[in-house]
Amino acid sequence: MASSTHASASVAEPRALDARRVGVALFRVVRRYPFPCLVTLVLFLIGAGSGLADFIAPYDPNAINPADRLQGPNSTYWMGTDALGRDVFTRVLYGGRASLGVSVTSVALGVVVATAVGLVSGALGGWFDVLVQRIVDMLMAFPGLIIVISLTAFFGTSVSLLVVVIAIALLGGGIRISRAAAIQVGSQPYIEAARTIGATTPRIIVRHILPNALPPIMVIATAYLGVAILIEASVSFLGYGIQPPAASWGFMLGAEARIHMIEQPWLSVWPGLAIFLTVFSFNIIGDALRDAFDPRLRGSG
Amino acid sequence: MRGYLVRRLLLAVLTLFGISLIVAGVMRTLPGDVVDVLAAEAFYNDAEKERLREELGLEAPFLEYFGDWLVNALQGDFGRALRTQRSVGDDLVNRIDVTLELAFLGLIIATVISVPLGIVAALQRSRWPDYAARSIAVFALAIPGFWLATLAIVFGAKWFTWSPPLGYQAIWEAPLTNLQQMWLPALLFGLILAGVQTRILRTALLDVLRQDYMLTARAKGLSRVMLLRRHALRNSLIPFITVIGVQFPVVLGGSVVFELIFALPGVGIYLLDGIANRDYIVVQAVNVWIAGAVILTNLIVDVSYGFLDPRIRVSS
Repeated sequence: MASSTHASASVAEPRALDARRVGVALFRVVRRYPFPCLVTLVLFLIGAGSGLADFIAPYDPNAINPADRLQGPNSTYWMGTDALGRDVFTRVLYGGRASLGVSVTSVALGVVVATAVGLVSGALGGWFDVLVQRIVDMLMAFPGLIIVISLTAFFGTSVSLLVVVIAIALLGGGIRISRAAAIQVGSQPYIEAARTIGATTPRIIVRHILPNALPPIMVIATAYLGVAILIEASVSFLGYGIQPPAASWGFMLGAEARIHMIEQPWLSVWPGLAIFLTVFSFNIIGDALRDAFDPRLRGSG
Repeated sequence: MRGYLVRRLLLAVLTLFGISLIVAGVMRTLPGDVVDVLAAEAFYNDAEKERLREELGLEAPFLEYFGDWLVNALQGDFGRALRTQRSVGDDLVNRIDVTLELAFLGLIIATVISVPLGIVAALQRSRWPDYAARSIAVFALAIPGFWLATLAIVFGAKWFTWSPPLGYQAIWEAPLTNLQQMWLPALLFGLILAGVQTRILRTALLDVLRQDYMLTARAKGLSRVMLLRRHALRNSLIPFITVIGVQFPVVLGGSVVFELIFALPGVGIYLLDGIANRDYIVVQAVNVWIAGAVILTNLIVDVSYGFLDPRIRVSS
């Protein structure tokens, strides 16, 4: 009995110490990089609000209430109401869930595929590399927005298709970055050493090249989150993205908000601000990550 | 240099061929029969449907269809728009000037903004002008173009009782009206494009400023202005030109939104109309044209390296 108490105490002690250490480390990071931390907090709030929209939102996003239509921001409707009397705050939260959901999934998909293809292409070289480079040339020749509206308009405007198409639009740049990283890592002496002791190519790619090529890929992935939000918003604004009545930031800025923009500017301000803050945050965090991974570049870019 | 040019040209042609093949393939695999959709909307009978199918080459095997399309396209014939029955090639020629004017004005304005910002940011690194320039750049990156354009047009009308003249006029027909219509979209477009350009120019300049030869030049007594002009700016030109090449697809894509909001009848609007009409002949042609424009720009950028940088000229 006594020994078990002793054991649990000795386990608990380092854990408490760890928590304090984490706290101190966190405090140092916040003091050293106040702005990226603030931005991360903003992004966290936007993400939490969107993710927990079901619990936080004061109203039903699609509940039409003509009696309360086009109200300015007030204590009942914090961000006002739209032309159908729907609560704008609620719709901004649900819109965020749609926008962030689409962009995070599409970036995850695009970056994972691009990393796999880019690393193998850069590590193997030869005909596969030539083929991949030609495919990248083709992908890079299409503006992201043009690919997305051309494909969603014909293949239907489902959310899963939107995710795949945005991922395709990000593929070219992602492959280029990861391929360059693989080539750079591949020329290091430790890769040659691994090869000399008989490591197979798949093992070298997964165990040595992937971890060492990860920093630039993470930086580009963060930047792409912003790009994907902007693509999704533009496509939804044009009417080929997330379909009404579902809320999305881009669609909320579309035709209806434009009609009411002068008299009811809040309809355009809140979703626009949400897009701006989210993309801004992703860019700042991307810059901070790059500085952290590559101190030589600190403060550049 | 000659060999390099020939190789780049061949690659560009190959890429454009591949793109045409893929675009045509994607358009052929469209879900549902496009003829049925069209016929339902235009109340065609079965005989007319057959004729349309024949005319569009949808009965032929894919390679034959693509071969015909390619041969016609090489002669400038991109088919007829399903809805209007007008020549798609002619339509595109009539509209490309609007999009190119917007793109070039936007890029020029972006350069005018980003060059001073980038230089100040790099020279004053980690001081307040640097932070100011970088903040402006990230702001520009994060603002959705369509939002900025909508705000500008609505509040321009409200506060300044100003709105662009209606009815698009080409620049060679009515230059003044054209510029009255173009300056605001071009300015906003330029502001947005300036974000990426400022960041790249700043990084490129910082890279050059770190080099040993900058210290040598300073040590031999070159003034700071000469240092900047003779060494730093020239050497950071290559990444900067590259960015303009890389940005060109972004420019063409972004132009869709600006054309829509400012009612400029360019290629972007043509694409949107084609999509709304489910006119895959138009969508196919626009996609190939845009890809072609991007490939051509990148070719020009690559070739210009040779002129800008003697090292590249010699080594290739």
